Amino acid sequence: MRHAIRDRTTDARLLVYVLLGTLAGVVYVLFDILSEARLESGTLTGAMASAHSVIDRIVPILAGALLGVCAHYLKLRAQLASANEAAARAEALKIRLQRVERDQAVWVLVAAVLHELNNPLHAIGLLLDELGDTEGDEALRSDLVSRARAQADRALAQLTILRSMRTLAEPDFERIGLHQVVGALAKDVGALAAEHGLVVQVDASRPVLANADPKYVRTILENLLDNSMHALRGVAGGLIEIRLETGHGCALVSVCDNGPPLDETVRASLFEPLRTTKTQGLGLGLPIARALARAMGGELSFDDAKKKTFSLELPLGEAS
Amino acid sequence: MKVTVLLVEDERDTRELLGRALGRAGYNCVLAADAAGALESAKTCGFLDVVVTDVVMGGDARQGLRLIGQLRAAGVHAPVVVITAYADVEKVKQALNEGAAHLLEKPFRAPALIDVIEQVRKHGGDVTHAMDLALERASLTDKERTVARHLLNGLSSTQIAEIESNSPKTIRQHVSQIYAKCGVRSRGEFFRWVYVR
Repeated sequence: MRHAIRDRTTDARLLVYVLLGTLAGVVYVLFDILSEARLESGTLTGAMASAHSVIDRIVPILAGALLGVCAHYLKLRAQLASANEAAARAEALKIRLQRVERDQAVWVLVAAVLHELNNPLHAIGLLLDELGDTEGDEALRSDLVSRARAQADRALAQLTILRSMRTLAEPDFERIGLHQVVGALAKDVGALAAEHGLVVQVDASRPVLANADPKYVRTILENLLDNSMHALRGVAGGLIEIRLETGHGCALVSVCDNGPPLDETVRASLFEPLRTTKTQGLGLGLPIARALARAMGGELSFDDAKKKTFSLELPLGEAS
Repeated sequence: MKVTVLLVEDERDTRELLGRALGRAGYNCVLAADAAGALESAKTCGFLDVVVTDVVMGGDARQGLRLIGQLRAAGVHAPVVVITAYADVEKVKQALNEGAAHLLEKPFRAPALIDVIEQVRKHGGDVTHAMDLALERASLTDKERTVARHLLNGLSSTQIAEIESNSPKTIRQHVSQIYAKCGVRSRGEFFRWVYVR
């Protein structure tokens, strides 16, 4: 829309230039006819005669140059239009890519939930069959019933996750104060970390605004902190640092810990699903976290050149 | 003689209930909660007819699949039925490459597992397992079993005597004892008895 308005203004200006050029041409023609007549009648002075001959030669050259400039201008305008079109296409592709990333996160979650849902359903089926085969033994029957209840609760918990994914599939981008999200999270996690003898240090001295979904950001950071706490289990003086800064046109949250370094094989498949070094979970945390980061137009990366650091980059909110 | 099934599953309910159902169906069911327990049981519980294992155990997404190779290395050649709550292409591929005989997806009921166990008992074992199975059913002594394996590997009585540091006469006695237990009269018949049943 803005492009169309700018184009119309430029067109009007071009018309004014052409009209001015035509007017100058007409003035020149009149001057030429007048001076020609005076030349013939012998009343033109020497200075006027030489000016006449110079103008006669220069004007066609100027006219030619002007035509060249006009042609070049039109060509540039066509190029600009196609560049604008390409930029619009790139923007559309970017949005599509974000949607794919988000779908991927949802898919990874669905796979995990499906897996976790199958186990209790399987157990419930077996428990019911066993109940059918058990006659008389009341103690055994009541044990089987309570186990079936526990498995049903387990299945329900998975369904709750499935339900919460409806909101995950529709991200809610808004300008959020990252310092607030990080502060709240650090407060929640800090107490748990202290129980394990760990310190969570937050360096968020000034407000940083990002264009992001607070639910996504919280999920990602929770995951990173959980990994750090796992890595620091049994490490004396365990320290998790969360830093907040801006740079290169984006908001950056980095989480680093002083746990043991990752070995090469773990490092290579860090963001691949179903790879885990923990005894619990399926190894879906980091792949989901990265997919969520990318769904917000950001990135989640790992670097251990100096310290073991996970960096979450997010698009800046306008006021930052 | 009861058919022995080793069931490896980390979910307590599933393990116990499938174990009970298999017991009712007449199997001798040995239970293990993880790969380490399974390898331990494989050492102590004697001949295994079929192994049934879960894939994801204790958060390890591939423990059950790696167990197949570990069992083979420990000399267990029984057909392996892999049970899993979620079979993606990668998992199926790895199960196939590790040498699983069947992949059964959860949720399933005990009769479905029993069908699969019977199916792999008939068709799922490799030649080594067929040999193990035949020698197991013949109620041979440990020494006789060793001699029988040498026979099936194509060694002559003299060669077996050398390897086992026995006299050829002793070995010949063992061989006739083996033939008697299997109801055969020659080495050809013995091979047929072992592999074509």
